[in-house]
Amino acid sequence: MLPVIQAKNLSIEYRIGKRWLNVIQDVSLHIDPVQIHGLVGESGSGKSTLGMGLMRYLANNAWISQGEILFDTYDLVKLSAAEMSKIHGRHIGFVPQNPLDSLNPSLTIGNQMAEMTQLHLGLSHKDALKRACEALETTNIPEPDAVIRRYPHQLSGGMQQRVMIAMALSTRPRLLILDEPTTALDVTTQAVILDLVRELMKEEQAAALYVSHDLGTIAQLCDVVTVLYSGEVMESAPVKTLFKKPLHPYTIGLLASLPSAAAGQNQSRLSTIAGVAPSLSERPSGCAFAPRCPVAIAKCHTDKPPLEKTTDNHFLRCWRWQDIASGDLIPKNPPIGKREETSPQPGYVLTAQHIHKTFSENSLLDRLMGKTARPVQALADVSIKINQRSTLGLVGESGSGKTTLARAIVGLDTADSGDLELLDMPVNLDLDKRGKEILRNLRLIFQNPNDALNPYRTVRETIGRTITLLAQETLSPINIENRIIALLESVGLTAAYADRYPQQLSGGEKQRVAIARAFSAKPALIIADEPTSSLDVSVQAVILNLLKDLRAENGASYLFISHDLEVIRYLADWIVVMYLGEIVEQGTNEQVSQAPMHPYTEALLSAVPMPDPTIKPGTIRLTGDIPGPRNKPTGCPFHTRCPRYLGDICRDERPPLREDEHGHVIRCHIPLEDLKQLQS
Amino acid sequence: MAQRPMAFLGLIIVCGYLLVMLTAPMIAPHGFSDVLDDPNNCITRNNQTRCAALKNAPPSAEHLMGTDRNGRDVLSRIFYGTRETIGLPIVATLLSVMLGTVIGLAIGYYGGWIDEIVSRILDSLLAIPALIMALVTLATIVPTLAMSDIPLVQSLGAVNIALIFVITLLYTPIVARVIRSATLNLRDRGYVEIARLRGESTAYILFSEILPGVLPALVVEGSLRFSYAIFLVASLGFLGLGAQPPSPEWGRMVLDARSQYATAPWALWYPVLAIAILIISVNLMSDGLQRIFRHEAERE
Repeated sequence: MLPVIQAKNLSIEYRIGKRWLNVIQDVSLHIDPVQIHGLVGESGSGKSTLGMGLMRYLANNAWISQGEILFDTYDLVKLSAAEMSKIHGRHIGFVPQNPLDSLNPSLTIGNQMAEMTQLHLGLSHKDALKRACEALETTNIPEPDAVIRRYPHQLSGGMQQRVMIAMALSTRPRLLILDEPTTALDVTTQAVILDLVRELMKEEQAAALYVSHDLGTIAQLCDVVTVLYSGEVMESAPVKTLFKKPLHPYTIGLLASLPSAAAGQNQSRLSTIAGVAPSLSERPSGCAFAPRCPVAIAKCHTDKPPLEKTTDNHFLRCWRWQDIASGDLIPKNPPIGKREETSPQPGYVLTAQHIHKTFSENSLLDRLMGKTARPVQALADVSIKINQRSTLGLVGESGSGKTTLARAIVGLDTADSGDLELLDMPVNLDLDKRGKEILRNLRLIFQNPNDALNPYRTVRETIGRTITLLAQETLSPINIENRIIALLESVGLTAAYADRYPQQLSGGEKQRVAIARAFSAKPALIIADEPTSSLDVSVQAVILNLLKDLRAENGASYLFISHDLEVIRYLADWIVVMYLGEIVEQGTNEQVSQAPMHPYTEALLSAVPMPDPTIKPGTIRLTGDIPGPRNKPTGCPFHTRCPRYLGDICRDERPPLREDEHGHVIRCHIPLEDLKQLQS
Repeated sequence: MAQRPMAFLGLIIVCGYLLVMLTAPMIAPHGFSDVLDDPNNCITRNNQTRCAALKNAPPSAEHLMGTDRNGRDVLSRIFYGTRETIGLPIVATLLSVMLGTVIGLAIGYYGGWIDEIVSRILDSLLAIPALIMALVTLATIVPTLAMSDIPLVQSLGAVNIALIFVITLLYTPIVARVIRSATLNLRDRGYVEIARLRGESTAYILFSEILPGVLPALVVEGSLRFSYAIFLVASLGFLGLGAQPPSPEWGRMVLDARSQYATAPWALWYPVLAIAILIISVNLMSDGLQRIFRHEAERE
C-alpha cells in the first residue's frame, strides 16, 4: 500500500535576525491511506511547522533546506507556487486552530465554501452552494440552509470549526491536516468535533495528520502517533503500542506527568520531567533530550542516536531502548519531594453566601436616551464554603461563571449582593473598602503568567512590593530580601532569578514567580484561576506538585478553577460544578466522580478524552451550544442540552437542590436514586 | 538606533539644531536685529562715518546667507530664530504631553462616565480646525495678555505665551486620546489587577504600573506633536499672527522676505530650508522610534 504522503529526511529552517535556525531536523514520516496520524509535542517542538511544512505552506522567513515530500507522483519541495496552489485546498485540506481567524468575516459561510469548489472543481456558483449545503449536512450542523447565509461571527466556535472541516472536505482531498483543531473549544464541543473527524475520515476514505499537544485527544483519535521533541522525531508507533508500552524516556515522562495517570494509580504526586526544553538555537550536540533524561549516559550527551526500527512500525531515537524494552531500566523520575498530605480541617476559610452578579453594558448615551440593555446574569445565587487547609475545585465550561465568581470573591468585580466571610471576618464586596488583613489573606494567581507580571519590574521588585505592603510585621530591607530568596527557593527557583525581568523567564518560571508572589504575604486562601492552562503538560505537572507542597507547608487553602476535570480531580478535595452562573453539583472528589451525578457533570466526564486508547470514550454528547448568558434558559438552565431531559418540568421550574446524607448536592429534577440507576 | 541609519541621521540633525538654539548668541556673527553697514556706501562727515544699510546683499564669504531687505544678516537671524521656532514648540509639546498623559491615564483607567464626559469634551476640541482655533485664540488673548503686568508674560512676550497656550490647547486632547487607548489596553492586565489587590493607591497604579507601559506610545506621540508644533508656529508666523517684527522667527522671516523675492530670493529660501530640514529630521527620528518600539513589542 502506497502512503498518501511521505516525507523523507525533511529539514526546515527559519531565519531569525541574521541567523538560520534549524526548526525541523531530518524528519521522516509517512501517512497511509485512511489513517489518522497524530503529531504530538510540547510548545516549541516544531509540530505546527512540520504540519504546515508537509503541505509546503511556510512563513516567509522559513524554507525547506533538505529532504523531499512525496505526494502522488510529485515531490512537493520541487513544485512551483502556481502548481502548489492547485494542490492546496484541492488535494490537501487544512483545518486551523482558530477558525475565526481563517474565515473571511465579510463573506457568508455559503459563499466562502462555494469559492473552494468553484475554484478547484469548476462548479457553477449554484452547484457550489448546493455542494456547500451538503458538506455542512455531513457535519451534523442543524439547518445547513440557514447556516450558509450567515456570517462567521454569527456562529459559535464549535460551529465555525465544523464549517472549516466541511470546507476542507468539500473538495474531497486525500489528505487533511488538522492543526490543534479543538484546543480553543470546550471539552464537550471538542468531543463532538472529534467524533465528527473520526466519522468523516472513514466516510471520505481520506488520511489525516492531526497535530496536537493533548495526549488525550491523540489517544482517542489517531492510529499512529509520532512524538516530536526539539524538531526531531523521538518515537513513532501505532497508538496502542505507544500508549501501552512507550519506549522513549521522553514519551514515558510525558505520559507519567498527566494528572489522569496519577489519579489512576492513586498517586499523591505527579512525576515530572526535569529541566526545560532546549531553545532551538542551542540544541545539545548529542541526543536532544539527554539534558532532561533521567537515564542519560555519557554517550547520550555526545552522540546523536539514530532513528531505529525496533519492531514493525515502531521507530525510536534512543541509545538505551533495549534496556528499557527489556524492563531493566525504568526511565521515570520517581515522584520525589515532600509527600506530606494535608487533609481538610474543620472550620471554614471562606464562606460565600448567595452571591449575585449581573453585568450591564449601558453607555452614558443609552442611559440618557432611556435605553437599557438586558443585563447579563453571570452569577445567580452562588454559595460555596472552603474548609481550612483544603482545595475547592471549581469546574465548568467557558461562560459558566467560574472566573466571575473568583473575581467577585477577590473583589476585582464587585458582586451585586451576597455575603462573604473570610476567617470569620466579614468581607466587604467592594475591593476599595477592604482592609489590609483581608487583602493579605486573599491572593490571586492568574491563568496567563505573561500578563500577571509587570514587564518593567524585576522579580525582586514584584515580590518585594507585596511583602512591603501586606506583610503582617514591618520588615527591614535585609529581612525582605531574605524572604524573597526563601520564596524563590520554595518555588524551585534560585536567588539569581531575583534580578531578572519577566521577558527573561519561560512560561513555567513566570508562573512560579506569580505563585511565589501569591504566597509572599502568607495568605489564608489563594484563588488560582486556571493557573496551568497555558502551560505544557510537563510544566503543568511541576506546578501542580508545587501547589500541593506549598499548601502542606503553609497551611493555605485553594480555590482552584479549571476547565480540565482531570486537573481538578487530581488536586481538589471538594468539587463544585458550575453551568451558566449556577452551581449544579457539589461534593467531595469521590462523590462527584461517581453516580449519582448531575447530567451535566456526567456529560463533562464522558467528554474527557483519556490518554489511553483502550479506554473507550464516553458516549454522552451534548447537542447544541452553550446558550449565551443573555438568553439564559428558563427553569433548569441546562434543559436545552440535557441528555436526560424529562419534559416540561425542566423547562418551567427551577430544579430543587437534592442533598444526600454526606453533603453531596445536586440541583436536578431527577431524584438521586433514579439518577444513580440511570447512570450505572 | 545605530541599526537604523536614517533615524540616526535625523537624531544627529535635530541635536545640531538644539545645539544652535542653546548657543545662538555665541555663534551668531551678528545680532538678529542689527542693521549692517554697506562699506561701499558710506559718507564721512565731521569725523563720523555713516553708512547705508547693506540691503539684499547676496550670500558671500562674509555673509554666508546674504542679508535681507533691512540689511540684517540672514544666518544670524536663522540662528536666533531657533529660540522661537524650536524653543516654543519644545515647551508647548512638553506641556501638552504632560497634561495629556495625566488626563489620558485617568480617563482610560477610570472609564465609565468620567471617560464619557471628558472624551466628549476632548472630541469637541478636536473637531475645531487647528488653524482657525489658533487664529481666534491668538486674536482674543494676545491683546489681553499684552496689557497685563504678570512678570512671566512681560519677560517672554505676550505672543509667545499665547502661542504656547494655543499649542497646548490643540495638542493635549490628541495626546490624551492616544494615552487613553494605550491605557485601555493595559488596564485589565493581570499585573494591574494584582496591584489593586495589594491595596495600591490609584496614583501608584497609574504612574508606576501603567505609565511605563505607555511610555513608548508617549515618546512617539511626543516627537510627532513636536514636528507639528514647529510647523504650526512657523505657519502662524508666516500668516503674521505669531511672532511680530523684528522677531527672527522663521515663518515671520519668510513672510518678510516674500515681497523681495525677485531681488533677494536667499532671504526666503534659507529659512524655508531650515524649517524643511528640521521637520524632516524630526519625522525621521519619530519614525525610527516607532519602529524600534514596535520591534520590541513584537519580541515580547
